[in-house]
Amino acid sequence: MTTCRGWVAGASLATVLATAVLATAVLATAVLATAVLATAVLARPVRAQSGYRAVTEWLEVAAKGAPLPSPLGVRIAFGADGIPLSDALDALRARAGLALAYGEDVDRVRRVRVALDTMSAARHLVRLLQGTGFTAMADATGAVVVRRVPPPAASAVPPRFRLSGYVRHQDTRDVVRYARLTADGDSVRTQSNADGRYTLFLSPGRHRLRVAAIGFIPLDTVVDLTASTTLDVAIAPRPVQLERASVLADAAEPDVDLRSPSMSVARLDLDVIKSAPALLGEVDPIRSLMLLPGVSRTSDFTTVFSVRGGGGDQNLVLLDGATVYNPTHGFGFLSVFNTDAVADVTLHKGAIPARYGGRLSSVLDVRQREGNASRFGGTASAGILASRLMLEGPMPGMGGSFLVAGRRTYADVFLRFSPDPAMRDVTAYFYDVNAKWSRAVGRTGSLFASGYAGRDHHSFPGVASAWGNVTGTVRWNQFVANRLFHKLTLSSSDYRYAIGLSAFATRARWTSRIATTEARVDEQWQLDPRQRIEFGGEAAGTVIRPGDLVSAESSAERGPLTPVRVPARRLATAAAYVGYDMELGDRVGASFGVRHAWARRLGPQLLYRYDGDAAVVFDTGTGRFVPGRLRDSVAVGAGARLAAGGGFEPRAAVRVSLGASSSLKASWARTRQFLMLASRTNTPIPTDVWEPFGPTLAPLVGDQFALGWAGVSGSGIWEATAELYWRRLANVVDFAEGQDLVLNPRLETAFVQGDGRAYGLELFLRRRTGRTNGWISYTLGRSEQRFSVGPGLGINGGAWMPMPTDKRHDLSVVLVRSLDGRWSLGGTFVFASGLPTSLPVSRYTLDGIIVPEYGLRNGGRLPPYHRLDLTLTRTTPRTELTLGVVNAYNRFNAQSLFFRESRTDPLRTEAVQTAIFGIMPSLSWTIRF
Amino acid sequence: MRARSDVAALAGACLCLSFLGACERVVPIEVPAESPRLVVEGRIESPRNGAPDIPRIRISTTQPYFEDRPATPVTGAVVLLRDGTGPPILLVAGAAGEYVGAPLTVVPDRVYSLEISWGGEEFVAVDTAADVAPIDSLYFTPLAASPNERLATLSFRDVPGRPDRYLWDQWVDGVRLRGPTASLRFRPIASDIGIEGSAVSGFAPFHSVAIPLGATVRVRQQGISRTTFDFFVMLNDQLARDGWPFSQLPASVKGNVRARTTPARRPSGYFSVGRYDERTLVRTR
Repeated sequence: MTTCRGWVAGASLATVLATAVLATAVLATAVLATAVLATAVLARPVRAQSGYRAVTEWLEVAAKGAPLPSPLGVRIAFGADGIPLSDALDALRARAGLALAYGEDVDRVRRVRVALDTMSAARHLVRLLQGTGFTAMADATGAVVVRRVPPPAASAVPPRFRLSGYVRHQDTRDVVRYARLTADGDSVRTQSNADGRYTLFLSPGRHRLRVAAIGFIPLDTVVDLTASTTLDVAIAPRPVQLERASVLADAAEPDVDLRSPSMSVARLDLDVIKSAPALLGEVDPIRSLMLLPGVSRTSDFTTVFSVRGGGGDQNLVLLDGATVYNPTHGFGFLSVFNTDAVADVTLHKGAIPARYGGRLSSVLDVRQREGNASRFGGTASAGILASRLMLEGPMPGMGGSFLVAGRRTYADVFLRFSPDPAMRDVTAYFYDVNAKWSRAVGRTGSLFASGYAGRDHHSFPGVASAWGNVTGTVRWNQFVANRLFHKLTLSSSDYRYAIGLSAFATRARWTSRIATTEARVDEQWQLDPRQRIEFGGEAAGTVIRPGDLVSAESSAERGPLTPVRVPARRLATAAAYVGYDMELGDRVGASFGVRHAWARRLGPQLLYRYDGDAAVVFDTGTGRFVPGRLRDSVAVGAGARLAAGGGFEPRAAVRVSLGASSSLKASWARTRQFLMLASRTNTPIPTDVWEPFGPTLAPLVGDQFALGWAGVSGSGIWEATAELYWRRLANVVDFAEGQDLVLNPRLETAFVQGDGRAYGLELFLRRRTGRTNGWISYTLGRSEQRFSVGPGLGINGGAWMPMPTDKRHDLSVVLVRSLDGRWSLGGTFVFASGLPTSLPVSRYTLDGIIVPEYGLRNGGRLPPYHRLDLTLTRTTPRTELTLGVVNAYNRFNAQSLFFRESRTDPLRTEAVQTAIFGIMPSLSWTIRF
Repeated sequence: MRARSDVAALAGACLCLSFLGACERVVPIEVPAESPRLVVEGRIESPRNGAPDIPRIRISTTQPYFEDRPATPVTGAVVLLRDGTGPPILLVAGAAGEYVGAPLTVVPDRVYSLEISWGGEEFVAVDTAADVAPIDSLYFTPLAASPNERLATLSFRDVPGRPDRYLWDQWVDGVRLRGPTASLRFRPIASDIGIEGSAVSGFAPFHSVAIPLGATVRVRQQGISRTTFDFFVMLNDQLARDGWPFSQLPASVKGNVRARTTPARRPSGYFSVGRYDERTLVRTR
């Protein structure tokens, strides 16, 4: 069995936890010590004057029978009606004959008012001074001194009330995630969570509250707290025209929260990125993510993306918490995310929170909108590629709100006009439907049910195929006892495909499927303004049917196909996590946590056993990996364990403020992955299958370290981030040459495992406001892998080689210029180093065919890639018309380089570059109703 | 079964949706060069009826990738074929790098080895002889796209209880069909997945080659080992590369011939032993 590399296998629990705590405590320790020392210096104990007691104490003694000092015990009638405190004290002195003294600061007290009443002078004093910040002290002779109430002792905990609730869209009542709430300037702050819930700890009294979120007008209001309170806050969206004019740059907020230790996070506002140039007029959130640092495309054609050099299958894609196994349409051309139905998109590139796990490189968390709870409405749009319709409104009969959105492409209609008869018979379209219902549960809870169903249909003479995802989520959120935010989620996801093809002159049907059902609980407990705990767990079951081949017809002339069914794979996973966020003073914040994952590969299945427990071995004679020698096979019963995996995954992040406008951040995260995608093409195709870890296929393990700086200009116009990262990966996969990944019951003989590493620098500069705004994103990076079985043995002799997604330079420039209130001009320029490719070093002839012999894998490079996209948008309150052009100067961007025999001379060979598209205009029109 | 290539072709057709500029272009490029290596095309075959056939091994060398001349045949090599029973069979150099020997009858499941000595180096390959299911009949069926055209079509029954892998060849008027044309980019191969023990009919291994009226067609169905099958899978994958995103990643096609003297100087090509069955038919209408 392939083992994890030493630095992973050897780490004990104690070492792991200690390292996590140490990593976050190092920087905080010095600051904490300073804070404690300063507090000790500043705090002084309060001492009472010698012989004087508070008048209230004298009254308590008098209540037990002891006399009050004269003349404090004299009963008089006294009142004050809106006069200065000093005048009231003078009047009481005169009436009661008191020897009373007070300082000049009494004169600054506002006017006092007490009703006329008859009582002892002592009681009049107490009543008069109540709420003024002063107190009266008296000695045994009755001499009275009025002095200011001393400040509370440093160790005293001031009373705090909780202000909590949801942040909501003013019009639609949708929750607003990751909104920032600050009180009294920036002294108290928090952020609404992924479900729009927030909690603030404030002292009693009045506070200025500010709520800000991407795409919304900041709200300033005043709250007056007399007890812990639940308060939903509604904020208004930025008007469409103003949005177009102001901030395409608001499309991303990678790491601009200076007070939070979180880093390597990118959030998109879909309403804003619709201003960006879009391919064929279809705005796609994943293509927009590729304009951010650290996220790169693997090809022009596909939305499969790479994060910091990782493969496409190393990204966990979630839709309302349900896993989406193939988040693409049209062989990857577009993603499954309809921007009309999506509320926000968050990408964790690193420092992945402990509540997430299962993939090595990133987590893409997509949330659907909840629909307008106030009124019915919708949008309809039509473009060159697809049409969309979205309806939303209050849900009749059930309460709450609903949203339904659908789209369908029709571009294959154009193929009917192709001069090529084969093209005229091609069918290619997809559709998808998003739906969501949500409603409040009491004052502090909410319930929603959401779903997605999408399908691609393609056919070509002799081949027809269909594939798609279906996901469903039910979630209940509840704020419990004003302290605990509780979330229960049930989700399912199902991806399947079916292909009809001809096999041995028989129509056959080839199907495959992966389905997951998951339950999870997440708790969030705000201990106090500076401490929060998160904890929870999840359990999931996944069934993979790698491939079934059955006959689609039977006739007397054509014998039936013998069914082929690759046995199903079953994977059970579970995880538990705990996270702790804290702020140490105003300058240091830390977040550390740990996640433990368990994974079990279960039967029923035939377990194949190999000599040396090696399903794949390196044949030194042929220089390639070949299947290991099969020893025997053992039937494993239902539910029995084939393999077990898992371990601790520490997560830690720390933030040190350098001032009011910048901060340093550092993080570490370990992740594990138990599912791998078997794909040997340049771009994953829908028929690629997932394979779980097993007895001879180890889980992937990764560590990522990051160090970053974030800053905001004094005016708030400019934001900048810089981040260094370094990743090390164990058990990354490649594939043995010649092994078929299709309908292979022993797929473990096709996987080769090795090491990976990636490191780089990401720079990001953004202008947030003004008529021209946008951002520049640059990544300098390197990602490598090696598959070594000994000195000089393995792929490329076991040496490090670039990963297929390796790009040295990746630059994106996004600008939007508001021309006037209705017109805006947008542009995107991207430049990137060419992807690795392999070059031939010789050729030979077999059966008259010239065959290239390649040198080092990924030893060459494609030419650099650059492209300019432009878009012109006219926006009115109800409509939007967008004209766009992609690849405005028709750059031939080579996506691949391949070698072939010349079509005119079979002895001549040539190198051929292919590009996906040249200049492409687009037009789309949207109406809102 | 060409499921994967069908899917790739389907995907490639869908790419046409976005064409408004050039899709491909030939570019000048410099590539590294290496010293020539040995190339072995070894198919030892005999009919399943037990009759012997002449063993033929073609040996050449690699050449620089952009060298536009025929492959360089190897002369002066010592080629021995062993079947593990008697003395080795010496294959003698003929024309164009082809080495032939005395007729032999392939015995299924016997292990054969090929030894080559050339240029001071030793090379060896091993293969287990594969048997083949007999062809029941050869006939002509209409081409789907052109009903007046005809395809050479087979019927046979896969032998149950053993893993079978097939390779097909076809001659039209004595000329063997070989690449490189668009319709012959792949070497027709298949395993018995899906047809284990079943009767197969209406199968045209060269499904895009129309047979002219009056032409004589000879179809050979050869059994190949797992090793040879894997080799042709790799070869077909690489030949199918067309630059589109759904192509296989470029990789050398590595066969079962090893360099004994200098392992790093791995030869290209393959060595395969198996039995075959043939049918010949003339298209008369």
